[in-house]
Amino acid sequence: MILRRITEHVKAQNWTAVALDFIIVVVGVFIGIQVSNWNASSTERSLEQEYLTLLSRDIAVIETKLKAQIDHEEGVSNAAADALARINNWTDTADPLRLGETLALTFGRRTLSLDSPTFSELKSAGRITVIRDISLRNQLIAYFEGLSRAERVVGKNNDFLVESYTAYMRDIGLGYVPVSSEFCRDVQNAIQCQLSEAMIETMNGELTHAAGTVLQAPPEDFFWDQLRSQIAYRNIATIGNLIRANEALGETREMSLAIENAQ
Amino acid sequence: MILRRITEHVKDQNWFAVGLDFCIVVVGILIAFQITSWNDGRSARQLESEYMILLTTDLRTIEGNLSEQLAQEQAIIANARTAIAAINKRESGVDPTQMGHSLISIFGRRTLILDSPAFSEMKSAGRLTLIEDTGLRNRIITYFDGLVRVERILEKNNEFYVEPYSNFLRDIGLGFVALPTNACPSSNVQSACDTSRLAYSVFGSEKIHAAEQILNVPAEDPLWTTMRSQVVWRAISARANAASVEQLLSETHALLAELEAAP
Repeated sequence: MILRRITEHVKAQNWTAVALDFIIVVVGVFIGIQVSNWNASSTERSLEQEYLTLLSRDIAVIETKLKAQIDHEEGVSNAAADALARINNWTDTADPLRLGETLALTFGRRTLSLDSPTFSELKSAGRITVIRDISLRNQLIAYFEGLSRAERVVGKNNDFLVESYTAYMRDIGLGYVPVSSEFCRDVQNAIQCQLSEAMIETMNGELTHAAGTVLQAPPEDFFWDQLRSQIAYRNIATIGNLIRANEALGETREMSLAIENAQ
Repeated sequence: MILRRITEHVKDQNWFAVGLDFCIVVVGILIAFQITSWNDGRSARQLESEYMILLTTDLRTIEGNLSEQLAQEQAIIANARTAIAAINKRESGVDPTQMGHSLISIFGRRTLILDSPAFSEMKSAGRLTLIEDTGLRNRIITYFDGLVRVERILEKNNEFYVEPYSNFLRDIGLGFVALPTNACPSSNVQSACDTSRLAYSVFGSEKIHAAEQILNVPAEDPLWTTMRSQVVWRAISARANAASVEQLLSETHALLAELEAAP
């Protein structure tokens, strides 16, 4: 219809009408695109709010995981302190089985894993710019990069200090001293207590350790110096992990607050 | 004069037609955008349902792979228990060949590889947002992140516990006590069976182990304590692997059920 009218106006050299038709098309297209943009922008805003809600849910999970890591590391550190005190005050009448149980509580690693499916999606889909506030966006990117650094730090500490400690216990022939359920009630190390329970059940009463012979050396034996040195380094790894996990927890709380303010 | 002509032209215009044209342009553009967007949405839904089918197929493969892994880890735990029981009862005599078979049956690693070509493609092409349901999308991402984590956990366990065990058997001079062919179908320890078959085909009837000498030491020999410790730690790694795989298997079942129930 418009094209027909324009052609008629051009033929009739009605230039005012041509100009009017021209303005109608330009302004009409402009308004049409503006409405469509406004619509897209309003969808983006609601998407931003949706992503912020999901991010704040992921961050709450990360906070729980960090608290569990801190709890575990503190449990290992307490057990290491207990083992060191037992070794430093070792006598011929000391109980090797109880020391074995204490050592079992210092075994093993807890892998720190702090994923955020929402951030992972935002990043892989190139949608990170859906978060309009540049400083919040930057804070989020820095926060998640910091988390992955914390994961790597804990992973490295575990690789170099925890694994070699476990290998030492295995290679001296100690085996695995399952932690009794009574002892588990008083300590904070869910991982080792669950493993002990599983090992008692799986091994069906078979003896899985040699605490009675391996931890029966006289107090002056060099073995105790070696064992103390191993425990000390194991505890250094734990303290390193604790520091990093506590830092990450602080950053997580700040991030959570920033997202809450943006919502 | 010009002004008068312009005024006449403006007066001559049919302003109703001008308004109508204007509305036609704006509404026309909006409708065109809507049609494009509806068409895009329809293609996206079609693509989403295709990806869902591909993801379901991948999950079925992963489920099979995990079940095989679990069977192997459980067989290793059972065989380790048999070996520990034999070591604990060594006072009443040890059959070196049988003990050799027990020790070899828990040797070897099975690397867990859990790929999903569909998810990899969606992630790398930034197509994850094709999954319209935000909750389902988040669960899929969380699941595949978890998959990578379990692969890493098993890899670490194999590196730190399984490989040292194999080194121990090699370094004490035991060599390789190949499993008899008839033991393999029921033993379910694929890697030991595969290596045994390979050993028979490569070495034929050549002797490649020293079970009769190495495993014939007296009951009080320290070799038995060290060996029990090694076997116990091999069992612990299998137990830890089995726990991670079991957890992942139940997550796989849950996600499969959700994908199959999705419209």
